[in-house]
Amino acid sequence: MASTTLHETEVDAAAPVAHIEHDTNTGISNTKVAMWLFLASDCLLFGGLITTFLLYKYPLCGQGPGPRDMICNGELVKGVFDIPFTSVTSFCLLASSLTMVLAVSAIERGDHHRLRIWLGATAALGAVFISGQVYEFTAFYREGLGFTTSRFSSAFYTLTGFHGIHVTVGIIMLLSMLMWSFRGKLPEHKSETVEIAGLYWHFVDVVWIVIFAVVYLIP
Amino acid sequence: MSTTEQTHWEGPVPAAALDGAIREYPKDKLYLLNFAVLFAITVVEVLTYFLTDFPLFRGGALVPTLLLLAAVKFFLVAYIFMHLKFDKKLLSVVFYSGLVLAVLIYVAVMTMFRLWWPGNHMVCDSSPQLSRSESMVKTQTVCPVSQLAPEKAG
Amino acid sequence: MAVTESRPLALPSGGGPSGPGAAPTLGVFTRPRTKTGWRSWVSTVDHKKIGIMYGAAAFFFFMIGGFEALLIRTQLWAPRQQILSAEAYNQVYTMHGTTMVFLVVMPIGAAFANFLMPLQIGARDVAFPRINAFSFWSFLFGGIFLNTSWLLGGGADGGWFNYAPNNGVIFSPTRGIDFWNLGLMITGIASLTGAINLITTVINMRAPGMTLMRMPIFTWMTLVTQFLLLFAIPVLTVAQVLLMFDRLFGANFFDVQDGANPLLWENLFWVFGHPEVYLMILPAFGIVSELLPVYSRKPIFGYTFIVFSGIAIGFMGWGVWAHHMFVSGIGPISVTVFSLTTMFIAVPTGVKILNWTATMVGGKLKFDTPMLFSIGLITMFTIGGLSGVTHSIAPADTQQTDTYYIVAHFHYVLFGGAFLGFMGGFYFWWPKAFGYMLNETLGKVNFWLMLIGFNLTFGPMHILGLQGMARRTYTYDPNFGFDLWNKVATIGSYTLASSVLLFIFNIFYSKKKAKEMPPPGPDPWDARTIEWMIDSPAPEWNFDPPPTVTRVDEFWYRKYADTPDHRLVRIAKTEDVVQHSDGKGVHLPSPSYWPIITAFGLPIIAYGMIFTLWLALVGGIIVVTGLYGWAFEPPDDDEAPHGDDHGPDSETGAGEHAELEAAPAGDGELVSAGGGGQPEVETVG
Repeated sequence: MASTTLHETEVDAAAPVAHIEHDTNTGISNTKVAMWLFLASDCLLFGGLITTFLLYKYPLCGQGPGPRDMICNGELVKGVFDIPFTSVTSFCLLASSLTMVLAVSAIERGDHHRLRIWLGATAALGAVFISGQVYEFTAFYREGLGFTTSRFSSAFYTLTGFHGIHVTVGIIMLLSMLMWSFRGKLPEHKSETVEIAGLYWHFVDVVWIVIFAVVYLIP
Repeated sequence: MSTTEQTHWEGPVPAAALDGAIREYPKDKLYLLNFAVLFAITVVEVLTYFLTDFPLFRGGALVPTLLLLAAVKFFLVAYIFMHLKFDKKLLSVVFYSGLVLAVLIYVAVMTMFRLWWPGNHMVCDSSPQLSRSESMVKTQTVCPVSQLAPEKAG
Repeated sequence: MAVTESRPLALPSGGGPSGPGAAPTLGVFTRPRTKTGWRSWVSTVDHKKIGIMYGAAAFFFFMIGGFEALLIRTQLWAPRQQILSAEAYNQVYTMHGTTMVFLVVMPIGAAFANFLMPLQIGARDVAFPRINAFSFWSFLFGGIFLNTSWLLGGGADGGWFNYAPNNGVIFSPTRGIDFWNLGLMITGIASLTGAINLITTVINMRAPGMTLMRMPIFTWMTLVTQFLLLFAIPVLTVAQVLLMFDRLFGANFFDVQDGANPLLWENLFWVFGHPEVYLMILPAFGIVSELLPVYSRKPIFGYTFIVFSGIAIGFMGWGVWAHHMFVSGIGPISVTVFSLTTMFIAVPTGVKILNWTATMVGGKLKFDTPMLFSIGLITMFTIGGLSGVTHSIAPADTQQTDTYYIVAHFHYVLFGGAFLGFMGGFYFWWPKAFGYMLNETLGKVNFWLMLIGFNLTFGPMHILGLQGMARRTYTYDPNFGFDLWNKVATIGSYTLASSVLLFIFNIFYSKKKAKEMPPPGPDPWDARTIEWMIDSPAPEWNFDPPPTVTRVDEFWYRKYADTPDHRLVRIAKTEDVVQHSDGKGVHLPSPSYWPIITAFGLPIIAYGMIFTLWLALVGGIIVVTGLYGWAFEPPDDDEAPHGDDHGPDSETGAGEHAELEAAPAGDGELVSAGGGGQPEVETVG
């Protein structure tokens, strides 16, 4: 035990160091395994919501607008989706994955300055995405698409809302870590905390990659 | 923190210092490169919306193209950004088992709803629409413009 | 040891080391330290105490569910009875099914998994002890929440699967289904966090030498079960979220008028529901796979086959869900496909039955109570399995759907399978949990009473079902010819109830008698797996030091060896190979109040969703406070007394690792609690 303590002290003093050694059977820390298990489980959650959306992709006639322009009883009903706008916010979320991985990379190398920059950038990009989503929801609502308007609106708001909540939770996690880092409570041997929050963040991003293609781009 | 900043160094992070890694984590260059690829794919994805006449983006080819592009992006993020390439295989097994299970099950569910072929009331039905006088009004289906035959859309 | 003394476990979140006397975390609570009294139970993070609480809570719900079952059987004693109105009857059978599935069989499985699995793999505790406590409290509060619906406008009334559109506001205007929906979401959170926790434990925290293929079969089945939970619970959550939005906020997911498809509910529910069936039975399979070798004094026949058939059941369980929906118009292709997969899934189950039987063949059988229950499981489950195979024949299934034949089938597999296994497990591991043996004579009477009562109750239902008696119908006409067998079933149900009462009597009777008896010692059954190497009841620190495992049935082969001509010879006295440790120098994860506080917020949110959103806000604040208090509390209490500073032997990887894990466990709890718990909270709050 004493040797372990010593080892950790060395580790702290001498970067480059990333993680504290884990004496687990697999050599992977419990938290990392747990996070991957959670993400695997979340695949089924989002899968279910996406399936629901695909099933209810178009509203019935007379129940408000659909995702794209459509002909309903011979009349044109304008769709609500604004693909260029969503493309921009999607791009922000994608870029936040890059800044996130750079933050992880920074702390693994003991670079706390860059860690804070990249964490802040990630949270900011996430916030842009969420703002975009709030704007989008408001715009849709003005175009007559309430939550209860049609099967399409219910499915759409539920799916994207769930994703938005995941992003919001991620932003809270990022800001908490930023705060800890400024207080000096995020040393290198804790870099795994950042990495695990990063896993969650990337997962939120990959889910949006699927949603963006399946929900927005496929007509 | 200043002391640790001095020791900051640029190379790849050695696997021994990493948790559950089987090989060193890469230099930031790889991350940037990966992002460049992701960005390019995203541009192609968005182009499908504007260049509707491009052969790969037209008719039946559009959906497979988009799904393929999304799958590639998904994989790239998981493989590089989420370090599945560099970590022990156990993590990949855990994650992909959930993912594959989700895809198989939900594709099966959608198949049971006959989501893949026309004639199903849940998806676009391009058969002539019923008149309002009939009691079918409520279950009448609608079609996006792009999926209607040209003469109907016109 | 040294680690915790010299280096404060610097959580990113945690404050530094708190000086002597300055302990309150967040200024609210002093760190709980007591080891006895109710405080030690509400703040415990000990997997054994949590396991016992799971068992006790589940047994409490079992009494409620059993009472509901007796109401049903009393109502059906004679034709045209009016003990229950049609409405009340709907609620009673719905709540009976829901309670038995979600609040009894699943948590008893969780009780065994929590109590036994860390002992069987030689771990100090589970990977995330506080999340473990959180799982239990969420389950308990969820279950209580669900049952308070009786007092607040009536229980759910759509059957345990609550098919759409019957679960809509139009057809079920009372609040029962809202309670059902939100209550099961809360227990779902419990199951999901528990699954992540237990899988991580099995993957990462095994004793030295305990490779996967040396794990006891119960641990294997726990692993498979928890994977099933991990992937099945989110599917149910999706369905329930959609239903919640439908019922509470007027969304259009299951309302046919708005173009929705009620089959979506059926599909999502059974995609969850069929793996659910297997995750209810697999823990019991694991238990009998432990019991049979002990009472046959033979190793399990085909360890690898049992393990892989368990894994195969886990996989194939995902491909058969639509056989619950053969009459819902899913089309001939789907029916054919799911008929075939249903026939195939009988194979791995058959493999298990064969292995158990072959384990007994040629063994020196000893018919103690746990063995009787194990044999009971094999025979009763075989009957239930065979009637299950008849459902894979779609034309036959069409006849049987919604009749008592189905009721008979799933009680044979769930009661005759899962519950008899659990009873065997109770009798077997009772001394390990409580330090005294249950009375053998009463146990045998208990078994026979239960077996006879069970068969009297559910056997006749096969006949009633084939005669055409419909499920979920509150009465029948005298000239239908159902009278006789219904009377038999009702008599059987009371016999069954008396056997359960006898079990409870046995618990108290044996406890009283135990004072005059010698203590059972570490190994009363001459058992095989390493949990019998330590004292009974198991000490708080489990193993000290953790044993080094070299093969399956490690403990057995420390006592016995096989001669070349396959005879068993004793090579060591039991007393010489067991461990009597004093736990000095063992540092355990510290108790905490935050899990119970966080879990307590969940039902408040749920009440708020049903009655007034302001209450949901209050609940949300409690949960968020709980999570932050949790995150800011170091997982280890530096000031807790922990004996002298001598560590376990150098080979004790797991011991050290439990120490080291303490630090990252905190981060992870924060992160995964933020990821896992928060979305639910945010959604509903």
